[in-house]
Amino acid sequence: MLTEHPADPTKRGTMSTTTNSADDVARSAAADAHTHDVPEPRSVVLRRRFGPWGVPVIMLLMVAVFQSQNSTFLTVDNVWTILESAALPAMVACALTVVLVMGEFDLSVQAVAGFATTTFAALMANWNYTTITAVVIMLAVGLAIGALTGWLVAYQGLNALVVTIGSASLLNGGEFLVSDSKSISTGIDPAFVDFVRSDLVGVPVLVLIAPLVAAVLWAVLDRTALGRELRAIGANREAALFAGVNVRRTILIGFVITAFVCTMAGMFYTGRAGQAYPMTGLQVLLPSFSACFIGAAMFRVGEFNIPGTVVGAVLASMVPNGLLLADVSGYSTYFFQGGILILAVGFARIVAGGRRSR
Amino acid sequence: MTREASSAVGSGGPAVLDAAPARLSVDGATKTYGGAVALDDATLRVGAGEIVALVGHNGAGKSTLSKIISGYERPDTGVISIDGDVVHLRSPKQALGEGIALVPQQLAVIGSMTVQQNLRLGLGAAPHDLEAVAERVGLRSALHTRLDRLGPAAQRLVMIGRSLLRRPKLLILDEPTAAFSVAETERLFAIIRDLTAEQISIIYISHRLEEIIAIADRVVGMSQGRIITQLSTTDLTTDQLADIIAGGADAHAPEAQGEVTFVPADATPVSDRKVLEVTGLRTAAKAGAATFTIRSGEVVGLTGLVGAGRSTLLNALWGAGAPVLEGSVAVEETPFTPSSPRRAMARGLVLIPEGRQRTSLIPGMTVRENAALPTSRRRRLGPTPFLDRRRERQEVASLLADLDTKPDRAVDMPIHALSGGNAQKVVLARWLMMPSDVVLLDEPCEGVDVRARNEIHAVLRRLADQGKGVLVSSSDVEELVEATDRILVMRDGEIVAELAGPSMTVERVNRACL
Repeated sequence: MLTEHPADPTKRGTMSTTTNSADDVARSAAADAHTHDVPEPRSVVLRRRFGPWGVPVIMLLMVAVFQSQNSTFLTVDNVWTILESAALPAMVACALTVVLVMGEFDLSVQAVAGFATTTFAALMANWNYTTITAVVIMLAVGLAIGALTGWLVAYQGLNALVVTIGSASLLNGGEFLVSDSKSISTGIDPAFVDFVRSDLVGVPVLVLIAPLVAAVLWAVLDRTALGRELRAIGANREAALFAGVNVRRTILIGFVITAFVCTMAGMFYTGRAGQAYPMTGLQVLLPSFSACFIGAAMFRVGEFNIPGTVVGAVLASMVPNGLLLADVSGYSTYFFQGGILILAVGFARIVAGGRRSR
Repeated sequence: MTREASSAVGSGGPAVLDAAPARLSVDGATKTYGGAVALDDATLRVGAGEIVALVGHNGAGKSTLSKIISGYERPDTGVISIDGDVVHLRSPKQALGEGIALVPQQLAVIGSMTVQQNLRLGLGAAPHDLEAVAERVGLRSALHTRLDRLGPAAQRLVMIGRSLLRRPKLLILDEPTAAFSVAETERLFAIIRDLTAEQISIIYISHRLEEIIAIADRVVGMSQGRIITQLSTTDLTTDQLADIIAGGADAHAPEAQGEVTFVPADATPVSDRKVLEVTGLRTAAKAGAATFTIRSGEVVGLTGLVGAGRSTLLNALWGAGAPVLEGSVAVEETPFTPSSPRRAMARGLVLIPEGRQRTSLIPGMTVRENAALPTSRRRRLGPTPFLDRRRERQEVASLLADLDTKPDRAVDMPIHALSGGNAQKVVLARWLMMPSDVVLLDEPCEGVDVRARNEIHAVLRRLADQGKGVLVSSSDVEELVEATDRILVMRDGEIVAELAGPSMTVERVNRACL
């Protein structure tokens, strides 16, 4: 009954350089076939076809507006500035995507990163560990934090929202504890600071590292059995269980990955800032959630996905930069970030609304 | 007798019981669900204060009829009148307003609330007759007790009490005694008789023959969506009643429904090797314990009425359901303790669970990803963690082609683009890729068309020929009689009968279910 249909010219995924094109062709061909099979109202077809373009169009509009307000917005230097400031939030947002994919929440991402920032500095400055030892200790601590959160959520059945709000508060307290409530500015390995702030062939190092981390996480989610199981748990936990997925262990692993990557981002922040002070780490809670939800309105619409999150993170860091250049008062960033988040969720809902049912 | 009864009430005039019009009359009600006739031209009268029992096997149309009477479904055609006035029931709420209340089979109570709070759920002010109703259902002294401290019988009585507070003229009780002891059943019967003394009519749906004889004035037998008999219970014996229900099943054999050709259950060589042996297995969910054996090379059917515990048993073996309290399991003649689906898989057991949308399909994933999910780790690129997607695509595509899945290029389509029968084939393909000795299937042909059903049974026969043991659970007795070697009948968690060879007829199996 369904045989051949010409490929949809407006198919999703053309924007993407990272999603697999064969998959996308099949998806859009199937969606097309489906549309022919059961006649749908015109409005449904329209929004399915144009909905995925909502966020990219908004983004282009914003670029145009920012550029019209200040012509330095689209200079090479400023683009690198935007990408450099997007790098660490993007890492945290990608980490958060892993937890969101499996249908859980993690409100402690910012606290984990902040704790890593301060503790990493304290290990080097106050306890005189070498940089390498401090990195190893911090990565182990990151794994332990993730394992504890994951164990409480997966094996003890506690609500992830509540557990991570609680652990975020504990970690914030921990920042004051390890730093003795003092700013740490001396004793941080200058070689590490220089490395994080350096350029490699004209590109800031962080702008190279963040996509690398994103690529690894994308490969895990999209190309490994573990990633498939994480997605299955998020989409239908009962079916995942009946299909033999070790649901609890997989959820624990998901939280471990998230905490591990957030710890890495936190340590890079120590190097980027060159100092650490309790509660002044990466301010990324809202931007990283924004990035994930904006990402869910792109590429694989209705599902959290790493390429979308990366674009979302760039968008989230472009807004404050553009507003600053346009000489708009600083607090308007809050309006923009909140507004874009809700708009993005709205788009994802509109586009995916009909598709995800049943 | 049948003819007499139906013609007497059929005229609708001033006849049998009273000169007054019947409390409820349903005339020519028909309901179809997308081509399948669930209720076919049903005509029914219930007099004031009369107790009418509705009987028939699974899918006979009892629940469709009761849903239409209570406003949960609207009939395609047909007229319902109450006390002689035609009513158009658009919702359960409206039906309640007309005096018709349904007490459904599923318990709908809130355990953390008291009896009193549960009784007045959905009612604005506390009704002044609340205490009287509580007295009537025997819960006066327990009004302030948390409901979860009381047993399932009390919870059922609370639901009945909640309906009584709406002052119904007609009360429909669907399997009210499912979790009742003999004493509790007696108490319920006393309550029912008390209600009929006030001219409240009762429609009583049950599979328990003794109860029907004891409480009902009249029995209405249904089969294949049609009302086939109406009898007074005065001289009726349980055997006669069983005949009515079982006979109704045979009268509409599948051959009459079009060309249904099942795979013949011919004499495939069944070895003596026991691939699955279950001894006295009792779960937390059902009272009875199950004992049975599946041998290599045979396809065994498992049937029973809804709620007999078939899914409970299969899920317990799979390690994904109610915990096992006692009993032992042996797979390939070595002991096996069910604990998780992964362990069961590792021991050569696979389960295709009931309800594929809920328990099998992953929305948002492609057909390939869905089919490959449990076996993903077996198809990796060498020592890397990455999936060999080319091999995966080939394997899934060739299996789907074997199963004749439509459309042909389904392998990379989103799973939601496939029809029910084809989605079921994807689930089947998922578990065919897993090496196994025992294949358990729970209602594999649910919502699947006749053609796909035959294909599924052909696959099961092929699996048995490969030396596996196959156990298919189904409420469709005809299907099992045609396609399996042996049928196990389950009741309340226990295997109560085993039929094979010439004794394996639809009628006998149906009778064994009761």
